[in-house]
Amino acid sequence: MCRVSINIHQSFHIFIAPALVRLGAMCSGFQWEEMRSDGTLILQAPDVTPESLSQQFWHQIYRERIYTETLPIRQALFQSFAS
Amino acid sequence: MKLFPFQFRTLSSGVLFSNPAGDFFQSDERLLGRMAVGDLQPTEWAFLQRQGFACEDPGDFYYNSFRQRLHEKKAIPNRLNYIIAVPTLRCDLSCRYCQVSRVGEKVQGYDWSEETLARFLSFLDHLESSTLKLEFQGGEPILRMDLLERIIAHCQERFDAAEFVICTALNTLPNRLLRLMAQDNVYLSTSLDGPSELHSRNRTRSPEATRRFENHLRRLLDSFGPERIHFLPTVMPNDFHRLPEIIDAYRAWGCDGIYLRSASFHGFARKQLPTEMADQSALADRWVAAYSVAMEHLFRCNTEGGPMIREFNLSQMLRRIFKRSANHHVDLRSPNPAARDALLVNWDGRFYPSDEARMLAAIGHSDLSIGSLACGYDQEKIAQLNWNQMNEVHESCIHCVYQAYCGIDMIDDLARCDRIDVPKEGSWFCRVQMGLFDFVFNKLLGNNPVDLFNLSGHLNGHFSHTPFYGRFYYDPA
Repeated sequence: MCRVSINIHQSFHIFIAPALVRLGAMCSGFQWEEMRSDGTLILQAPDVTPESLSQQFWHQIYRERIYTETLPIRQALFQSFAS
Repeated sequence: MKLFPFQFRTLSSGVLFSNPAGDFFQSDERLLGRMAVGDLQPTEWAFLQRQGFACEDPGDFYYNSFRQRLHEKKAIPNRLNYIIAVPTLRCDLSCRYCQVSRVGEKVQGYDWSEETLARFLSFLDHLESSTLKLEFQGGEPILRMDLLERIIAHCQERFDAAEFVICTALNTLPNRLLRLMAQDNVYLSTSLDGPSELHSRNRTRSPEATRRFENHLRRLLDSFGPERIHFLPTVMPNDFHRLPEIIDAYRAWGCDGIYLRSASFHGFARKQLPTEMADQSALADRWVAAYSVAMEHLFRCNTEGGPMIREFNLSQMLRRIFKRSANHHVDLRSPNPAARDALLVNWDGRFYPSDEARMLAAIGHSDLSIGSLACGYDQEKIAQLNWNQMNEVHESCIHCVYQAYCGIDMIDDLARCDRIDVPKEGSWFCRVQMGLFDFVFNKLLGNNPVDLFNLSGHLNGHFSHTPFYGRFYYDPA
């Protein structure tokens, strides 16, 4: 079982929950512990390297953030060709 | 003064800057550093304003000009006027890398029925567009010449302007096809993998069959000329190094264009080529390297005289860079909405957003059908697809300097990675497009006369040493 500890800046905290759910769906056996007060999160998954697990987690966090921040643009573009 | 959003990338000759409207210029890290912190000299602000990267206030000329250019860049034609029709899935060949779920020539039940044909003609009658480009794919569409004749006759009456492209392997050359070709808006597209032995290995499986194919091709070229007969190769991974040889073969045929195309990972090709397709990143890098070598060869040949050849990928990329409204090619545009201006109608009457989408359905990977002639469009599914067909909001694309020129291909991601939410940077589509755009911009910014001569020809058809663009270099020294 691979175990990694990741420190996450406060500005990303609101994206942690959806990122964890997505990782749970993508990565069989994925688990996490409650985030510590210093912003550190412990992730665990079998059959994966620590580098890969960290990379996948950061990708999901980043993806959620960009999705949220660009949602108005996505909606506007979508409307432009949905009409 | 305010800067518009911009992206940048370091190339061999400096730093390339671009913005979402597709404007670009070259400078170096010193200007980038000052742009990042807003510490710019008046001359630099003036340069950025002229290049379309800044305005004084929202609402001023530069601001409104940027908005207008952005609007033009994102405008997608809103009338369906390009249809791929698959009247039969039957085929008389079995190519190594065949993407579609072909069936044998004698198998029954894989052609359009009379009912499907009637529905298709009625569907055409209800289109809003007065122009149409109709491409017949297969299987082998010329196995059903009767359907092609009836559809083309109907469209000649129905539309003010129509073009027809018959995509055939030319294993046979029926007289009915020659008669159809007598109409000057009927074109033929076929596959030629290059030298005869390569074509035999990949497609016909015998020198005799290749000779027969080449005789058919020669007869068509002699009768209708290269402007009506198009052909393109499919290149296997083990043959990437042979691209210059393939280009030479095309020159020998007297053609003026070539579309360098790697074997894809769609449909049955996925099952036929598993080992060769396993490492997509490495394969993409190999393709880009081979493409670059091939284009150097093509550029050299073009400057040495003889018939000029244009390569389709390069022409498309240049159009995306220099022609703001070049939004018709679905493989290289964003947003890329399904069923808006292009649609595929399969042998069973189902609609698909693209040829690749029907191939995923054919092998049972994903059902990406978006309706049918019988039931109309599946708007919910179209909306689901379209929600993800925008590189403007994709996490891997929004910081990319080529975002404004590039496309987005969710179906390719599905085919290769089984999902669409993987980091783009490792995908075939992204690595190939990054590599090809790097190639183009290095050539554009390099100011080599041979390169500019060829880029001019690929962009507008006129091979010329006269520069076809204005100054786009800023020297912060």
